[in-house]
Amino acid sequence: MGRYVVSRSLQAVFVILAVLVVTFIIVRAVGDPSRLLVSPEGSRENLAQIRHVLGLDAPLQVQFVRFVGDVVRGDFGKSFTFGRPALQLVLERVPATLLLALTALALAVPTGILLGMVSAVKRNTIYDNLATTLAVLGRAVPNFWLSIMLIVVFGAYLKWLPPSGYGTPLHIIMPSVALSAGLAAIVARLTRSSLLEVMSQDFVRTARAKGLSESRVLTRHVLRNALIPIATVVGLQAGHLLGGAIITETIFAWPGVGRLLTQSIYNYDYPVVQTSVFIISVTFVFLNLAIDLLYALIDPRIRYD
Amino acid sequence: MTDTATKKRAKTGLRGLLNSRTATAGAVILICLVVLAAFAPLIAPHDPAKQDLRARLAPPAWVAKGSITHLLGTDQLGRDILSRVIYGTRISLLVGVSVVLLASTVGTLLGLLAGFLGGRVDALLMRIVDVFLAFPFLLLAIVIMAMLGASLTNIILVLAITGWVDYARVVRSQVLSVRELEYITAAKALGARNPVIMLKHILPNVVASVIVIGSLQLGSVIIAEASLTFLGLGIPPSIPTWGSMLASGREYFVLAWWLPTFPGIAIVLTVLSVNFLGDWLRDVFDPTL
Repeated sequence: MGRYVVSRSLQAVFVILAVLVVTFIIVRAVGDPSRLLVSPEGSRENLAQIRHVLGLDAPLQVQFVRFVGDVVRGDFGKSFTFGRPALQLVLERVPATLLLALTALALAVPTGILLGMVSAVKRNTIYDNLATTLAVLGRAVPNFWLSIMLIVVFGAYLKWLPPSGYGTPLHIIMPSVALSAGLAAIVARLTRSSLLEVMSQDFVRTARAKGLSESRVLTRHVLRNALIPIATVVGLQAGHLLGGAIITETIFAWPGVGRLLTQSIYNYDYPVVQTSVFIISVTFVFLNLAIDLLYALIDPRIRYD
Repeated sequence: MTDTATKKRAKTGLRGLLNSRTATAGAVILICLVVLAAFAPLIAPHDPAKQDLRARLAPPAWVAKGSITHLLGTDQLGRDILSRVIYGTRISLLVGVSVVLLASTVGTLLGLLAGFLGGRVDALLMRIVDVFLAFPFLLLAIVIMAMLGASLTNIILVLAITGWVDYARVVRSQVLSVRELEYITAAKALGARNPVIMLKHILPNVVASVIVIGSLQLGSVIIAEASLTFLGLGIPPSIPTWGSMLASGREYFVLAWWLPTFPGIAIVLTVLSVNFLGDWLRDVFDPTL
């Protein structure tokens, strides 16, 4: 176990280094940021001066070392639009993103498992067809379109829910539903196939033969074993909620890191773009690391893969 | 011929396709979409870019005040929605197919190299794969598009850059098992050179999986293109696409439900048909994927 923890953690460190390189390249390739700070009428000397102040006239390798040094000290520069430290701006937005992602996760997993269970237990009935159709649609409906339609129907026509914004529990319903749909569909599909597979195994027949009630067989014997692959996929997909949150937050004006990122892209606010990308990626890396280590702890077979 | 062999052949052929209701539906929808895309100028009732401010925000034909001239209504600039949806098919299919072809070619070649050569090449490639998997793919695509700028070529490149990883991983793992087979040793003993062994003897073994991954990826690529275009980071707004139809005129969505509804239905139908076919291909060729 110790060796696995070390090698997996080293891998995470390597990935974070790569994240740093990518973030660095993005900033330098996004176009010369100094041009954004000089008015079109500004002189060449102005530009050169700003390039010097930003350190953009130094050789690339020197810039990279400085950049890594700054990151280690938590200095990501100041936002062009807000005039405040970029890291502070991004960190302020983290709780909103976490709240949205966790709510979506909390919605998606039980919904998906329930749909999958209905499908598997009532196999080849109208319930199965209905649940399967929902799961198939969940995979084909783009997150951003679902968001738009929710706003049009429940926000504008029916006026049941606030169309966008943040603050009350009502505000989180539509964004979290929109964000959770894709994951719920994946979980439902997997639960169905996983349950059907477990239900055909001998120990389930034994449990039935012992005279256990059908509900007890289902919860104690079938579901417990079927949950392992489901947990794996939920773990793998959880990080991708962060990617989906970028779009959902932008549409619902949800004040999270994702919306900050798209706004900063539109405003050419490169210190904030760089910081948001870094924070989202690092969160993703640590999430995956934590999940992998957790699995290795639960299931020793994984370590030898 | 053994029983299972007969069964497999029946399943893969046209009859197999027709046996699966969802796969048949997928194939029919997809054929219609390809026809729409190919003959868009002949089928579309109007020029998709033509504005008619007197007819702006006209509702679909079956709604009160709707007219037959604009079956699905018009947008905030009076452009015909049906025509724009039809032209949008072109971009979605073009981007989807180009990305899958590009990503599968690159991914398959890299997977072949990594699996066959092993050693340092393999280690390096797999580390690169790890890095790609460590980024949420949408974040990567958004950021690269932001730095390259919106254009048709850029979106194809970006989605291919983020999409080759799946092929490389699967192909590599299959090559690892195939390269130990006796006929490869025989080919080597006969003096076949590495590129020949890789392309002639190993590649045919992995093609089925590559096709399955490609068909399953197509739907997500189409969604990704629409999402990025919607954010203003995909196809430039001057080209009619489903994503740009959903992005422009957002302030009118509340007044005119048909603006967001039809391009969205077009995306869902396309992705559904592609997914149905992909699922069927997977069941036939490689249920483990």
